[in-house]
Amino acid sequence: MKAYVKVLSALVTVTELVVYGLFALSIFTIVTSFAGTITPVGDKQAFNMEVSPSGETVFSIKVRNQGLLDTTMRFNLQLVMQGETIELGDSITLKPGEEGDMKLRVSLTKEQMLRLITQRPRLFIKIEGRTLEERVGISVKTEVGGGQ
Amino acid sequence: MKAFKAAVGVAFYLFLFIIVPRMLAEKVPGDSLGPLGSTETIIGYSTVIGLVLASVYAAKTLTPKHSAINLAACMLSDMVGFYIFLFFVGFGEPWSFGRVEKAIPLNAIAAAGEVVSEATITFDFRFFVELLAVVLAMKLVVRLLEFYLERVEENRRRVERKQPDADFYSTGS
Repeated sequence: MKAYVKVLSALVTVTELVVYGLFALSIFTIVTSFAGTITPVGDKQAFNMEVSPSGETVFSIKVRNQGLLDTTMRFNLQLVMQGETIELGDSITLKPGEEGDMKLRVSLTKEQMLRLITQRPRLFIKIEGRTLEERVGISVKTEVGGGQ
Repeated sequence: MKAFKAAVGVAFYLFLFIIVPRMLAEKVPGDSLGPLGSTETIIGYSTVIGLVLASVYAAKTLTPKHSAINLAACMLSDMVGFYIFLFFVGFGEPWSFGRVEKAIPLNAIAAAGEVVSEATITFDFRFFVELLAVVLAMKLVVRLLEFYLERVEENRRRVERKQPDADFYSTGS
């Protein structure tokens, strides 16, 4: 009986250490992935917005996983205009050391474009980083107002 | 030796949870530690935790392993450890159980020209809270089993003390 309890006690200690180790690893992975996402790479900005003459707007964000575990990064954009909400989203799962792009495409009609210019729309951006099969994560949501 | 061990442990906990936070607070400008809350609150929490851990450590070291006080001290120390984890992953809100939302003003970005009022950061560490809750339950079971075994052992020793070896009487008489 005593030997079993000793084994069980050792098992619990090892499990606890593994949990703390995983906790440290996931925090490191998420924080470094966020840092790799919001910081510019060389002369390239991390966050870009392009509007083509046809009216298609492409929001792109560069993502790098500098951590030690797989990471899923999510990028959501919400454009709130008077009486209308446009929601866009994309996600990407990266292995350690990998990098990629998340792109959000939206085609605005002439009316929407006009409203976008005349009214002051509210723009919400949400970036989320998750790891350990998406069980752990950090997300940042902010409202960006323009032209003030 | 036990008293010395207890004194060293108590001194360690008091230093770590009462003196170190005060020394750090003097170096931090202002009276807030951002998402963790005000410096005063953090120092208050850490003082209480330090006092509890120091007393629990003293009780654990100075009482015999088969005593109920020792069992209570061991279990309390495990629970305090879990509470400290909850406190840190909850950024000062232990009862959020690992999922907490914090509003952070983005002054630096606002100063750079873009008008950004504040960002809401959501931390989701519920998975680790759940894992550590299971670990805590297992630790408590182990503590109970160890306590039971110590009690059995102590009872056996007590019986042995009450009934000395029969050979002693046979040779002595």
